[in-house]
Amino acid sequence: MRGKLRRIRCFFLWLCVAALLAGCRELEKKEEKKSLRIGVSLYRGDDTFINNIRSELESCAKEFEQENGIKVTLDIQDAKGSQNTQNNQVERFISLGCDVMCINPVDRTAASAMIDKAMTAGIPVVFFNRQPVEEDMNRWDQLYYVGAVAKESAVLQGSIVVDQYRKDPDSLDRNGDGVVSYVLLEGESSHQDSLIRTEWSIQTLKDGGVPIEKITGGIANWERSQASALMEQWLGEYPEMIELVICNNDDMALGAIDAMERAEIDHIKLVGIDATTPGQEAVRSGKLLGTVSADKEQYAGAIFSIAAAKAQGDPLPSELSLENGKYYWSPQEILVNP
Amino acid sequence: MINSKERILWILYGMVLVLLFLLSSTDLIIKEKEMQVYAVSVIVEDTTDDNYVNFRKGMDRAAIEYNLDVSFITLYDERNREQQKELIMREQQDGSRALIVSPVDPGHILQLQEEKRISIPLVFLNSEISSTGEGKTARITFDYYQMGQELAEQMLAEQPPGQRIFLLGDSHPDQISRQFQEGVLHALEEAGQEPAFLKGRREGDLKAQTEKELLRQPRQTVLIVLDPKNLTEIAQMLSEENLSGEIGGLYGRGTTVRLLNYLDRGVIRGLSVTDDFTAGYLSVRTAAELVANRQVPDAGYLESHYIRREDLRNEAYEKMLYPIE
Repeated sequence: MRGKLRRIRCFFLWLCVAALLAGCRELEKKEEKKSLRIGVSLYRGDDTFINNIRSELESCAKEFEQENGIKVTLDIQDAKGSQNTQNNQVERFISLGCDVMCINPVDRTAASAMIDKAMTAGIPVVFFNRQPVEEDMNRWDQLYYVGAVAKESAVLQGSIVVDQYRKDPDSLDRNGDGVVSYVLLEGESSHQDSLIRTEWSIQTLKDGGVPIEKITGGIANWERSQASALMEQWLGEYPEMIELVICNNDDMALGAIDAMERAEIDHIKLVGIDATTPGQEAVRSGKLLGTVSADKEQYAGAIFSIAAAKAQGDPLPSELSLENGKYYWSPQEILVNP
Repeated sequence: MINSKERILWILYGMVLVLLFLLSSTDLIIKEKEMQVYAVSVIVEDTTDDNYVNFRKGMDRAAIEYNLDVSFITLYDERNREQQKELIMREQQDGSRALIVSPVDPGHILQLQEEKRISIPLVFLNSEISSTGEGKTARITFDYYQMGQELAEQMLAEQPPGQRIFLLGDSHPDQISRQFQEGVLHALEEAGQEPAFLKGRREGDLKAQTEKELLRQPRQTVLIVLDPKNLTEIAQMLSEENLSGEIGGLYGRGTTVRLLNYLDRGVIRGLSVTDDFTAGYLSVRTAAELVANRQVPDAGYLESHYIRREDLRNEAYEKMLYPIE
């Protein structure tokens, strides 16, 4: 009986020593963290704005490596517009041992499955560009969101047109009927930014005293090719009527420009949002009246700073001011041809 | 009250449940075969992956098929030999089982291998170096000399005689651009043409020189740009200043979406393109085979083509230039 008790005591003692040693090893591991692994999943790799953010993220990672001597591995994956693919990518990130995940959700209403997986694995998530619904964001304190305020983008876009109208009304009202006739190219109907951008852009024109009349509008899903096809159709249906094209993003504005170039029309004014590299090029060449630039360096910088801090188990940098401790809003500005 | 027979039955049920749990949720009884994931690092000579978009798609495809963990690494400064060496050493030390390297200086990498400082399999990308004889090295590349030659021949066939031909490129070109240039020069010399050179080192150098040349006889001016980066810059300049229709023609090489868009818009007249998806796929597959100590036959030169605007709608080129993983 006494021998049995001694064996049990020995076993528990051994268990305590093992637990203590394991704890020390964990501590050692944390101190020795010399590399970070960040999984990045993009809703669509061919979206120009997202691609710009991706490039900036890579620059941030390199800068961080050089400054801190900590190796950063960015696993960047393209979900190609499929939520299912993105869910699989999240699983792969977890199995590869990512310290943190940065996700640009395909479907903002379907983030819960990814959040479940991240919570189970204990991996923090930084969502960006497409904001998950509030209920999902409130499920865990290790979820963050980085984006631009859609209303602000729209108001700035509207003010580009207002300024132009005040400066030279004839440049917009080409037929002199006292009304600026416009068409509208919208992003995905399920994307919150698309609805807000449309609503506030038009509201700003009205508030700014620009007399406007909508000819037609269509959903081009943020895509250049779809916008090009719609514009081509409208140029045929409403010849000499369109004076302004309001686009929810630059890619769609560029698509409309493509259609105008094919039809050899250059008098219609266009405005975009995002200030992508080709968008900026179009502004410089005068093909695009203006665009709204979210500071991509700051945007990607915020994503990376949160991710790096979380991956290292550090508190978030004090210079990042987060709304409700979760949301970072990137500053924006107008970009026009001087 | 339950009798002893029923009790035994209940105990049996319980045991079956425990057994089923052990079978399905743990690997105590049925040991699941542990899948080994090997790390492979791809280190390129550039600071961005702009010229490696399709390559990465092929690379990712092969990584999934061969169950590899592939990291794509770019340099901090363009074509910095020492940085590339440090990254190679770092990746080797961090446990990479194979390296795929687009070398800044192929001789330097080879020297590191001969000195046994690189002890893991190495796949050279876009380099003429082949096996070192130890069976741990392979090569995935295109025939850039032949690409240059074909581009020049096609350009000569398209352009009227008497055109002023300019070759534009970096004043310190990389190995690929040098081979491409040699191919172009060979074809031009055979046709009795003497091209002029415009060389620049910094961004904007070539743009300024080209603008100056275009002021004189733009219609008789044909530009052949030897690398994708400068080709993008010149195409952008022609597009912004609406000069693309005014010159004899702009030619070059590259497969970025931006360059293909310029070709589609008629800014670029002819483009030498490579099958980068296959290059990415084969690089990773080759690395996997070298890791598994299998003999890898030389893949030879991979596919490359000269294309014009109308070829972009050709199904075969569409698949090659806009691959879907």
